[in-house]
Amino acid sequence: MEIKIKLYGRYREIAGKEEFQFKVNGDTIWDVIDKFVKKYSVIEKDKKFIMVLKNNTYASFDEKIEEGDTVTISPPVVSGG
Amino acid sequence: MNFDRFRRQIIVNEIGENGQQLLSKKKVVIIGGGGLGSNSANILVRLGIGRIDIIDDDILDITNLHRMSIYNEEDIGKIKSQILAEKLQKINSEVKVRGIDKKVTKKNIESITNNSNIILDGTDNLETRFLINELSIKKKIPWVYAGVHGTIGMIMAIEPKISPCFRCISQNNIREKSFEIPVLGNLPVIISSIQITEALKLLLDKNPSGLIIYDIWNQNFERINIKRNQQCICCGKEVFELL
Repeated sequence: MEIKIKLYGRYREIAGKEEFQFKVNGDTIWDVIDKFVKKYSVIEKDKKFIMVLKNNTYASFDEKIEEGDTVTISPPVVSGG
Repeated sequence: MNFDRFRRQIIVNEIGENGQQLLSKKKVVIIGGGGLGSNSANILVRLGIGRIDIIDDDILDITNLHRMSIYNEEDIGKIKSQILAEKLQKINSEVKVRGIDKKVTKKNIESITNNSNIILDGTDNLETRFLINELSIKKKIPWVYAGVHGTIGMIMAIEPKISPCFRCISQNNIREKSFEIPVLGNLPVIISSIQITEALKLLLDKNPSGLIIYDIWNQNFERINIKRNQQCICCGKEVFELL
């Protein structure tokens, strides 16, 4: 299955692009995150905290994805400065 | 309040005399007096807000100074909320400022935010943000989330039952492991400034700008219009797990 990944924050630098088509073997958001983290291992420590949206709406990690979905991935931003 | 000091702000179309009058009657609660909270308080008191409460239970140390522009070396070792309140009062003696040396908990958040028109986020953890979010939905008090990491800041104004809430954009990782987060020193004041702009819109009944992500190093500014999650456990089903 092929979906579109949109990246924000430092993930853009890590991946070297803002968005790209991504082939996923699995059918949930967690499968997307899992494959993304394996591809860019520097993100491993963020894995459970990644901010993720599906088609600009909240998506839980166990939510199903479908061909053509856009999954937005952003690093967690939690410090109060 | 003497409005002459705001003369050049009043002629800004988005504010006007009515807007300035409205601001002088509003109460803002800022939770956290660190990089975001102290800068936001500094900006707000200059803008002419009527009343500000700053809640923080921390002591200032030297590692804070690179990103908290209102404090100086003489303040090291002092209680942040109290020293901040003293400094703010000197900027505008007509603003009612209170520094509250407390940690925000489920037991005190309702009394701390009582009668406030808006809550500003200057916290350093997700758990308190989820707590603020639940209180916001339950009591219908808008709040403005803000966070920083390295060179990136994120801001989102949350209008209960109108915009997505914080839970609509977050996974349920409330008890994240605490670690020292990198912050470029000049980032918090910019993110605070954006946070205050979003707060002004809410206070003046204007539309906020959705989720904002700003990367100060690469000068990337993004806005994402997120849809509400109708099944959200907090703003959809009104289940309050932390309150």
